[in-house]
Amino acid sequence: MLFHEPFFALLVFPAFYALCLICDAHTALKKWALILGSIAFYTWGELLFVPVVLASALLDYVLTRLIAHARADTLRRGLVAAGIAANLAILVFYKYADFLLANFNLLIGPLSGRTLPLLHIALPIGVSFVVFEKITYLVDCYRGTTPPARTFSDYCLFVFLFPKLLAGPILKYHEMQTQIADPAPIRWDDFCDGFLRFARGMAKKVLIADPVGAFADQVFGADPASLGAGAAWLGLLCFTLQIYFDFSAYSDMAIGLARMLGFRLRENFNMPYVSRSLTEFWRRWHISLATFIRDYLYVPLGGSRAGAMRTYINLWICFLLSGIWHGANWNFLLWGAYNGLFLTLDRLFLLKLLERAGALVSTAATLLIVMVGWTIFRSTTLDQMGGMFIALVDFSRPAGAVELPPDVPLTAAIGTLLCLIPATPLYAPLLRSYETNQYVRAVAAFALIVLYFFALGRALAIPFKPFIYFRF
Amino acid sequence: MPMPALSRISPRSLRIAAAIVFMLGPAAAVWNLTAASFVPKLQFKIGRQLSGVTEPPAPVTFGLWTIADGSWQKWISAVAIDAIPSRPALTRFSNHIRLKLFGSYGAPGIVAGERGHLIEQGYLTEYCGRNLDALAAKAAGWIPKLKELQDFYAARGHVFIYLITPSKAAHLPELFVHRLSCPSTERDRTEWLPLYTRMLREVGINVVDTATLAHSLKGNYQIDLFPVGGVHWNSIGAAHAANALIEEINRQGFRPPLPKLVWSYQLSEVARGIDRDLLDLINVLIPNPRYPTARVSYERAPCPPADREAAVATIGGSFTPTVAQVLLRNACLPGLRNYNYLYYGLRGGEAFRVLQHRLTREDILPLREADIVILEENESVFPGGNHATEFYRVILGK
Repeated sequence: MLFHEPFFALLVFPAFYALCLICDAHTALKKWALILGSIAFYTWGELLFVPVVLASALLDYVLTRLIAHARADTLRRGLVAAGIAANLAILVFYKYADFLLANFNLLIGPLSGRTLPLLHIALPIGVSFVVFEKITYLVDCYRGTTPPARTFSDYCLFVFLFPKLLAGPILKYHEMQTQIADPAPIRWDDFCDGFLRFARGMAKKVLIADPVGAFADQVFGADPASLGAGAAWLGLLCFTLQIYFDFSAYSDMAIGLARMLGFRLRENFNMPYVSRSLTEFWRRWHISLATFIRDYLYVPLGGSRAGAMRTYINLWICFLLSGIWHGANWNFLLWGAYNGLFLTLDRLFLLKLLERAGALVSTAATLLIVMVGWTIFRSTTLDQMGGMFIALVDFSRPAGAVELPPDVPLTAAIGTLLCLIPATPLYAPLLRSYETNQYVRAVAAFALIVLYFFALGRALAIPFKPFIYFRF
Repeated sequence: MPMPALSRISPRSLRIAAAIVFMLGPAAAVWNLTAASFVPKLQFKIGRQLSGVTEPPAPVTFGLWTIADGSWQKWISAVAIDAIPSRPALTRFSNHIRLKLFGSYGAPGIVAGERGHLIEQGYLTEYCGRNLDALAAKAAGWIPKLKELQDFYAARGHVFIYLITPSKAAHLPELFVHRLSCPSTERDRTEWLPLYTRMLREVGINVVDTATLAHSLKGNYQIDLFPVGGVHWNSIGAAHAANALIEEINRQGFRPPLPKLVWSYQLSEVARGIDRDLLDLINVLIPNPRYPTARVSYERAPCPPADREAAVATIGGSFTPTVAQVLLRNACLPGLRNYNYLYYGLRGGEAFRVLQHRLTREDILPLREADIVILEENESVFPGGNHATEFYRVILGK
């Protein structure tokens, strides 16, 4: 059940919200409504995975209580390592088992003449987010940043809180501890702000990400040899827009839903395509993942404290792992290496070069670097990736046979404008007038509500494919 | 009585009031689901009902594995979405904005041509893919079967007619063809019908070619025979087709002979019914049906005395019901039954209502004894389209 589906937006969430409103005056009741509602939400999509998460959460809870009471640092280290290993084992089993087996077979098969059977395990939705959040709890408790959850139900609420369950933002336990322990009552302004944020996400997802994404799928699904450079670039632009509008829309919807329920979640995107370097891009893109990697991987590895070479190695480790976190395939690993390379180059010379080049050039160059990265990210095989790169640079090819849907050019233009307008001088006065003028805010809110209903209608209309008559 | 000030309402009451408001939508959907099973008219919907037919989702049994693989949830979700009261209004709103912004339609495969004419992509694809060699090869396989069918009925002394109906793409190609890449040659397109009818007549098939008839009438009337917002022929086209069929029925010696239809028409500025089938199908908020259409009226001649009511069957696609209705009401054929795409629905009676949905092979078998059988194929699907081939199989037990 996804947030932009009318079944959720028009039926499930309003009913659940009504329940939360009724329980709102009683903290314990509201917490239980949230816990049970969230578990029901996850059970709807991942029935068989929920018991695994529950058992794993219980293990985390027990381990952190032991950590809190243990005096010997070796024991505490051992307990936290066991907890992290147990969580990573879930991730490896569900996400990487077949990838590891397939590559093992590739290496060992020709020598031994035998191959191991693949497990074909369905990837539970949101598993990567759930595991990372659970790790933050273990580490925060180990570091003493926060005490263990007061009750197991409190911890369950942190793990299962449904707005962020499927696609983040990745929360850190210490940031959520107070809100989880004592959820704030639902307020009118929380509802309004949350709803408008949800509406923004809905519009971004349904009106921009989905139409351009369908065209990107068409281009990346075609034989790269049949693509002209124009189609290849348009397909890549559409994917660049899709991945941003889709992912940030989901974060918007998560933040909005949580806000309506009285929770405040951290931001996850901050206009990433206006970045003037890849280093800046990673401060603006998927912020919760970047900060997780920084706080729970890069810093423990030594960060930049042990000399330049060690810093570069740490960066590469972080980005290789970040790459493979996005999916079990070589292209994601390559994409991680590509980002690690440019972050290293930034530290060597690129950052200074881009600073000297001026805003326009540095923004354009960074966007180009990011888009090339998305080509690696979106390609399903290395052959396809190679073919796509050739299509992008071979301007002598004919236009090709990819049909351009009528809504793509305007949607892509609007999407590009929305992404890049913060890089223009127009943005500051627009933002100022929004912040200072209540009429501008009212107009913006009205526009968002109209877009919300348009998006809802679109989401309802897409599965409705009527014909005049049934045919033979 | 004065309204209490908002500030005097307790937060608890406000919360409960808000909860009730939030529950209205889900409660109405539950009501619609319940009412749909008993009295569909009691369903609560906002906005005009959506036009067109869709295949209802196949029910999924509740069970551990159907929940684990998500199929039960998908089914529930699909059924629940259909019950959302605001679905018609929101869908139309979205389709309307999408049409205005991007020029694209909410129904699959609808294409706009010049002068606002709408058409389904399938007709254009067929028209632009015509190939005479392929037609000749396919017709050579189908025509002997058709002859077998005709001989079967002739042996019983019954009337058999093979009816060819026109396609909008072939009738008004100038409105559409230049807008897309059209691989067929001019010769392929123009010789398509003559080649097929020639092949049919060479072996003696009783063919009524209303496609050629309709194309020959192009420009004879103040309006096109195909309406702006529709994909089927209008009532003038259907009237000509009905008379052509009557002529053929009488030529084959049907007794008593049927009276020729006498009809006249009036122009109307607002389209209704089949004249706006595609316009309705795009499901926008405010469709524009203001384009000229024709309303045909028939002079009913007294029916000749007959021993019994003739059993007449028209079997065909979406062009057949209009002409079947004309024959039933005005040509003294009250026993006519129309078999929509053979199995999808049976219509008949003075009101020409649906008598049965979803027919089976057993429902078709009695047509072996029909007095008059009219088997229709549109020029966009012949030779040997699905319903015609299936009819051949069922009747001849192949």
